[in-house]
Amino acid sequence: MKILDVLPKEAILADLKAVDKKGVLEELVSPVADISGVNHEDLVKVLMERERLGSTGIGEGIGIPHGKVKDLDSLILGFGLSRKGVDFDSMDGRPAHIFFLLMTPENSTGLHLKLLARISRILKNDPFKDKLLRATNRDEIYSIIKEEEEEEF
Amino acid sequence: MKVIIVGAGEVGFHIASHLARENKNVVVIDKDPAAIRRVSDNIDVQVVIGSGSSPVILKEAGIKEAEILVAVTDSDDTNLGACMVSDLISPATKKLCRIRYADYDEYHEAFREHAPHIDTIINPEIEVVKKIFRLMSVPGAVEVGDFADGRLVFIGIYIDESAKLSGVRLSDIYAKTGKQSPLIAAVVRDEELIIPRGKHRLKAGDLIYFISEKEKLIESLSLFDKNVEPIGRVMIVGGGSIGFRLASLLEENSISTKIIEKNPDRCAELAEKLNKAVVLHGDGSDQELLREENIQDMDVVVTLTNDEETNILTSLLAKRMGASKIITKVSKFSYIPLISMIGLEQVVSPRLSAINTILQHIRVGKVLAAKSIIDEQAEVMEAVALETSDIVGKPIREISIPKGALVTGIMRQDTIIIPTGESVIEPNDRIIIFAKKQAIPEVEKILAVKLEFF
Repeated sequence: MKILDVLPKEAILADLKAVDKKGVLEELVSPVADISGVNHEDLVKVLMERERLGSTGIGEGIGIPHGKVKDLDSLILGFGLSRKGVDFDSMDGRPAHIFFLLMTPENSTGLHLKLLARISRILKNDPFKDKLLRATNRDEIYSIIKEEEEEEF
Repeated sequence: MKVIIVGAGEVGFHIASHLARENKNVVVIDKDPAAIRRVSDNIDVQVVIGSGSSPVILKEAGIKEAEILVAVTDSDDTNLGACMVSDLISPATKKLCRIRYADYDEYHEAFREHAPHIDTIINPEIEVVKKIFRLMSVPGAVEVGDFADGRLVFIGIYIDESAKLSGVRLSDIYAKTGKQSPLIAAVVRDEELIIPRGKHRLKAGDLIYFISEKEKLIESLSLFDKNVEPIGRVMIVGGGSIGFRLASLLEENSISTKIIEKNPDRCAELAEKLNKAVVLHGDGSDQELLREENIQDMDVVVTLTNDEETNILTSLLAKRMGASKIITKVSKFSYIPLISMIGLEQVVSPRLSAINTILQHIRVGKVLAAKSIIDEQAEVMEAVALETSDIVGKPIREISIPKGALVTGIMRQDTIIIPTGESVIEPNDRIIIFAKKQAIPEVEKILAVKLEFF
């Protein structure tokens, strides 16, 4: 499965405003809630609960918040860029700038794990990361991800 | 983590400084400029002057970005108001609310289920009464904490001069007594906290902390020459709301109780509400009255007036007059370390109880309870061991347990395991961890799940 198969363009946010974990989750969730029709606050709560068990801030400026949601029909991604950086309780203690949001239905059978692994893998690619960090708008981010995925397959 | 604290009183102030020390992003709201000034002069946190139940003020403080709202003003109404408003503006923010008024007691569950959807109600009075009751049941204990649904108890006691284990190495306890020693997690000697090893020699005056299965508690205590005797008679000095709550609980447990209360109107009220307890009008620090009421025959004397100094003095007086066991309520944090110096061992503090309730919510991992002990030098936590975390799947000796931390108990379904280095923690086990303050961030790391945890 490609990332762009499940990442709607509208769920890409090129300039996150919040600087705190909860604030940034609120922002990231907004378009995903609209598209999926799942209650905004329910999504935030699921993500916050997951963060409490251990941060999804994996260091190197990256956060991959994720969770399982009861009323969700199919897996959906969101993306966000923060210029200022967010205090995401990351393992390396540094602020996070690149966010992939991953929401999966409760009965998902392993697909979400594959996608999570794939996302964390492509983010290890520094040139790709740098391009993302320099992107200024939604379209640009979309094409950077597209380009990266085409190269891989 | 961003936390908003409404109320800059003693509890709010103390929580704020605790969280600031842990580098949390804290905002304190209070309408009293003097209280706010005390906060901003002493702690590195943001402050907002205004009413904590105002939507405008809560927004200004950044409620949408806050993971936790802690409402701890002196007014239940303001606290409830702050939770109500934040439930509207930012439903995903956790709400911890102090509610003291007993009229609300029956509605705690409803406040969770329905608006304002309070996650945890902090009722320091109920907590303190529970703690007094636990302290009563364990002679000489300075700390009694229940874990694993009450099946494990965490106890702090002093080693007496005459104790048979005074001068004995931990590793020799079995040889000396023929009994298995409970797991001793910590020893406080000369105000220094030590995590003891087998060669550690106990000394009179040591304050030791150990964990024991509830069923074996009496046996464990006898090892330290503390004999549990049933409580028959209790005297309470101070008939305020805590005094009343305690008296009711003692009545339920058929313990004969006397309450001394200064205010005649309150006496009448107490006499009406209580069935068996004897209500006495008078001053608890009046030696004559204490003698008339045979204070020396009391199993426990509890001083609970609203005046700190009165409690301390009355307790000292009761001790001198021969009361065998005394529990003193002290609210001012600065007094607590002094109390043991003047020979009063058992102290309760409603404000400290309030803080313990909050700790649980700021820890990473699935933490079910956390308790700050030894003047905040250490913590005991109960947590669920989660899949993918570093703590599960291999023998404890192979896990890099941070220095200053100790796994003191495991509960697997219905079985209690006192762990050794060979024990393996399985996912969904409940574990009890003792940790020095410095070790807590590392403990949080080994409890945290990995990225792939959903």
